[in-house]
Amino acid sequence: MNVSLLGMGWTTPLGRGLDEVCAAVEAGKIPALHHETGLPTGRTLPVFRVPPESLTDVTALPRLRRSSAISHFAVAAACDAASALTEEQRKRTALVFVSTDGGVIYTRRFYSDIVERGPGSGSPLLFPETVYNAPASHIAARLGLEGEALTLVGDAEAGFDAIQTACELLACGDCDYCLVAAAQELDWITCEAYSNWKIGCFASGGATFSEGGAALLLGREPGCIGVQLVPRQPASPSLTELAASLPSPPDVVVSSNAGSPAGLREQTQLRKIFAKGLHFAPKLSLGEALACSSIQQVIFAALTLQKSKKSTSAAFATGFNHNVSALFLTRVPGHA
Amino acid sequence: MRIPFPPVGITGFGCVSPLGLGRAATEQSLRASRSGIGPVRLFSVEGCQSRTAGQVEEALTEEAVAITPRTRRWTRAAQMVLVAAREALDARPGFVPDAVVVGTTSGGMTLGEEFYRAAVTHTRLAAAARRTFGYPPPQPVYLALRALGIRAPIRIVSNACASGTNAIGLACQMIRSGAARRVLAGGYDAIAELVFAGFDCLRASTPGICRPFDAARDGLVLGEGAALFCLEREDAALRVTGYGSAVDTHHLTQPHPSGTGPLRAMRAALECAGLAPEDVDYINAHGTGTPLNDASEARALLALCPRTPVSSTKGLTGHALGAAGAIEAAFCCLALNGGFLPANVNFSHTEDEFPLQIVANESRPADLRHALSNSFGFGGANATILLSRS
Repeated sequence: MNVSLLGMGWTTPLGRGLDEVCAAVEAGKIPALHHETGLPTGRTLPVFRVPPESLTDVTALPRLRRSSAISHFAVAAACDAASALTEEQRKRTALVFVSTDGGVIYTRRFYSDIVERGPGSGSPLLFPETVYNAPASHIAARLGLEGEALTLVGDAEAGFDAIQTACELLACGDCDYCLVAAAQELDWITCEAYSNWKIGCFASGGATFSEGGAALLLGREPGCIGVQLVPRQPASPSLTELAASLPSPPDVVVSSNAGSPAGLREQTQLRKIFAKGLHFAPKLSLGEALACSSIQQVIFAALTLQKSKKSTSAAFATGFNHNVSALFLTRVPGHA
Repeated sequence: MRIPFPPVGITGFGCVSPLGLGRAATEQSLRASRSGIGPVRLFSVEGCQSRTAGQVEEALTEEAVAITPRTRRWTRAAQMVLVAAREALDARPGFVPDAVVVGTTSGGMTLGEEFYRAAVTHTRLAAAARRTFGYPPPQPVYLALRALGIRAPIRIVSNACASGTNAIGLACQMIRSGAARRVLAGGYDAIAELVFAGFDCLRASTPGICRPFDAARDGLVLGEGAALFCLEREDAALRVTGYGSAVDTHHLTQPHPSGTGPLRAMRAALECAGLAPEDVDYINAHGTGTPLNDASEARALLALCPRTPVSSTKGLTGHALGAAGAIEAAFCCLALNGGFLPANVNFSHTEDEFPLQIVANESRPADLRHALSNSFGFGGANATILLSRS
């Protein structure tokens, strides 16, 4: 079955416009660093934040007034990606939302209240927004979706699992379109944990953590970008095995390197395997937002294809357990 | 074009719940309507209005350690996944899944709690940080599979309390679309302090006992557990024959009173199987025991299957959240195989407007062919699976 990319949207530390952010990433622009100082360990953590002015249309929505940042990022990206859908088409649209940490800000605040004031003192305003599928519910409400709405949770690789899930739903024929959305919000507790895992670092080297959202509208109707999953054979392939499974060597290679030692290894290896390709690592500009980042990589890969007039691109993601995934995109001739 | 929903064979399953460790113990408790609910023993509930939960027995750790000694330091969540997965795979020797799809709401939440406390008190932070590697929801599954020698891509579904049912449904969709031939699917959740306090602060938990569908119901009791199923495109005595899912965006935590979301999910599940509502012999309701949930579900049930026997088993187990759908699917399999209707305990009478056919207080023999299992959750998640016996 052919699946096409019909719409895209993202909320990033470099803004929300597709072309403008893509150009900034290609130029190697780095967003302003914010220095988080609320960490109990007393450390200062540089992170990338989404400019609040890019979200004013979403934060003003009554249903989202009390929700956490993750829902704002997710709804903004999803609305942009699905903007061309009619009301009737939305009724035939499924949703797959993916996140790594969910509503971690409210989760930490809620638990903090319990620890400091006792188990009976949690806030009923915070708890519902801590549930992983809260952003999906807000997206569905905003867009008037009624069918399958799934939330997946996982590492960077889970972004591609969400796309695969969408392709399966489309293949079954229960929906005509599937919106894949992802979002990540920042809190000191996850930054502290990830830093301890050596995913990111504080001062020198390592990834810069970031927040944001991303969404893709997928459908069976022809579009300018074809989406192809890369089968994982064997079940946990190495990067070399995965690269060998691609339909052809891609013209554009989008690595998930965000600056961590593992990311650097991935990009170095990809440069060796696809020596003739055009190589990018958008996470060096957009920061490490895990599952959200992998959807942002796909958007970047698609935009680069559209702009460069190259034929194929591939995006790669490496997960927590060193598992790797890839997605192959093809520019379809005859479509703008 | 829609691809027909193929009957997906259940060739093995394992279950860990407050009713027992394993299928045999679970079936005994289910037939005897023996409750697994008691005082919370895992953390302080001081200040909470609710003080009880359905907890998996303490022998869990020994059961896990018997599989592999390294599990002694694992979270209870990971131990539950291991024990349930081992039982499922033992029932189907040679089953090598192409993928694993598991539902959960909390993952390794207890490790997140431990890390928070370590961070704010500056006590043993490095050790707690290392242990948080078990916090992300895929990790308990990853650990358990690795211990059992299985390497397969893991997909975690977190659709609140519908997660377990959605995971089984998604596994069936993978088989239906041709993306996989064999999938290990189910759900897990272990009780955590944060989640307990969360339901308590919403006043969704009862200070008394859980009475699903009873007129005097006043809230849920939390539970925990895990259940996993070997699913494959193969003829088997037990099969998943339908799946339906729908989102209701009425409110983040409250269902639409009309029951429109549950109704759409149940109808979709029946459509998959090409069955009429009258063909359903038993419905395992979501039935949390909260006034709003049960009323909404009752309206949907009355609109679709007014004469079908219904029970919620949450009065026996508590609400196992992301594991509930999988555990209750296991109960349906035991009921279909064993020829009995599980009881809806603590039931006296329901409101006049909900004349449901409740299987009140005691299980009873019945010849069953088709059972619906409902799961609904926050965010308006509604999921239903249809299970059948050949």
